[in-house]
Amino acid sequence: MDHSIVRRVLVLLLCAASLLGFSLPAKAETDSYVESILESIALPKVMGTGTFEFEGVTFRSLYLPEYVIERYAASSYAIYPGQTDPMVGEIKRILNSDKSSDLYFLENELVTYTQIRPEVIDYFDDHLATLFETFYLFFGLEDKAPCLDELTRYLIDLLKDVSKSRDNLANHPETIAEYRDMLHDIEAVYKYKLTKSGTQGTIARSGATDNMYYFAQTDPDWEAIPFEYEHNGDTIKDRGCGCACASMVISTYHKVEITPRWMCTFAIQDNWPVSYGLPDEYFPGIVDKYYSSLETERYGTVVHTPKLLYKSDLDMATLADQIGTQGYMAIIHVVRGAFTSQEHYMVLADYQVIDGTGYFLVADPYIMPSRYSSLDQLRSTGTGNDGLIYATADVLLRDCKALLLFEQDRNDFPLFCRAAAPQTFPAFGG
Amino acid sequence: MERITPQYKRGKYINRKNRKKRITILCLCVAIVLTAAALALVLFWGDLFPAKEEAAPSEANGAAQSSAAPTDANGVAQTDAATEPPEQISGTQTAIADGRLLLTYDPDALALTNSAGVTTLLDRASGAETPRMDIQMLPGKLGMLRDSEKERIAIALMQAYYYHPQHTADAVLSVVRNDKNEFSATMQVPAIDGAPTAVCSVRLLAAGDELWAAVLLQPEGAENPALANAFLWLATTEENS
Repeated sequence: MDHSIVRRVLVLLLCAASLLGFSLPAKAETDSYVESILESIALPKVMGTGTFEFEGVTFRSLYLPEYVIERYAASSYAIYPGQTDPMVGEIKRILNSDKSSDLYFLENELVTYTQIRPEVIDYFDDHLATLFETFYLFFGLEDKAPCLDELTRYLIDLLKDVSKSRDNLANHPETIAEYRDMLHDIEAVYKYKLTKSGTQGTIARSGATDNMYYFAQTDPDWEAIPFEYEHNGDTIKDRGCGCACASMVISTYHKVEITPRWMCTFAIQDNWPVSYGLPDEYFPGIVDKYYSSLETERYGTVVHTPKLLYKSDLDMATLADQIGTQGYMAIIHVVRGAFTSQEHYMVLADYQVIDGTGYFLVADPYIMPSRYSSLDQLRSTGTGNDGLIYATADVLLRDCKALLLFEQDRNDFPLFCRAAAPQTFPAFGG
Repeated sequence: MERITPQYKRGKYINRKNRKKRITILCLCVAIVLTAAALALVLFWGDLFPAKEEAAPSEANGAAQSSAAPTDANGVAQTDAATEPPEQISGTQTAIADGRLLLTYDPDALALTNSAGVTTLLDRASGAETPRMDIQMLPGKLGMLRDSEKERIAIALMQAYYYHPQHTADAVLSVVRNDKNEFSATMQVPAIDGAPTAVCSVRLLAAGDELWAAVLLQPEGAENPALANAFLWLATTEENS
């Protein structure tokens, strides 16, 4: 008897619930009815400038109707910086710039190679947060805190549809031409923000921001790539320090990730390898041939030919000022000593005074701190990146054979607006 | 011979014994269902059966503000001038919108254009983009819309003039008329993004089964009386027949 009553009550309650269920679609239908009216409204857009100021430069806004913001005012999900979620990985894949596998944004580096490595692809890193802030800035949503929600996803879809994608290349080349400048403006502002906030560079496998472009020759992604001299079977790990150093410096000046793979390819292609690895002349050689204007069209950046200085030419106090204050970078060629038992290239990325002692920030592409013969004049950076170490001017000068000095500020970024007019997307009758 | 299971026998026995109790429980359940149904209807009545006809708003109703805009004493005032068209003006009377609307305007002062389904009147002398009046058909029916939806559409029509619509949140909306034939409202929009303060007036007109929207945008310092007259004298052909 008891069971029978419970069953009947349940059936009746389900009937009641179904009545409520009938009403919910009706409400949704009414919302879509009004939204269809809102979407049909013509957009004269004659009031206001359609521009915004960023760092003293006037940029063109991207138009976003209010009904879109209302539609996504409440999102069914929200993922914030520092969180890990498969949806982040999905978005990173859409935004990433790997030309070999990507469908969208073939001409933009919005998410880099190091952001989509398996260990961090689902991680909402600092770079992605800055990128979303940049999107919001262009769409007039500058007060919105960076998060991956329905509105952000919608904005990305708008951008994706006008990007240099495989589909647009095949079917809508005019769309690519129309929106290219706008996408470049977004990309440039994003890179500018990273550069000026000091958070530019690669993302470590831990998800942390390296705060510089750091590439190790011992990175498992490319350490086994052949980099031989007279068929000796060597790899990038064995003798790719020069390639890794060139990657770090040129990436920094051009604001894009250029991995050691490319440096290795060009070194072999142009027959640069020598018995001990690469000669000092390799660096000005590849800069002049391949990299001086690599990203000039996109970002306005250039890399000048580095100056080759020998040990006898070096004034470490001047070098400290150039690297610490003027933003120069250098690749130091060291011989047997504190850092190596043979010959080695490392990057001098910064100069700081810590506890009254001056140190150069050394980016060593060979990650194996145990091989340092003495830590007397070295100091841990505490960044979690074992490829970074502080070293005094004395120890560097002692071990130095030569130095390639890049006489330009690594934080220079000539910001300018490319788009000639405010943009409206095709979805809004653009 | 049909076999009678023990369960069946037990059920019959209990049913006989507790018939009254069962009836009471069933009544309770029916009451629950009816209550739930009533609740559902109350909650979503407006969605299922939008008002077919609404009374003309009183002065207090006319002060209704958009949800996005706080009430403002200045914006609330509903003047006769705002609701009553001016005296008949001289000018050209043109049927537009496939004969659904009658537009009366001064062709010497205003230039009439039509592009992508939008009829536009601009100041002929200056040729400037503002002040202006735009008329367009919207895919809906006035009678199917709730008051809040009409206001939302009016606000969206105003926002369509701005490059940064999200910056118009401080606009104050005042309803001027709201009946089965027309919903009209004015909005005071503060200066934003380099644009001056402006008054944006919207009329949603029911013309047969169609919904037409007329918008008059008058930036401060550039008001055009000829445009205002054309806006106020715009009528459906049904009204004039």
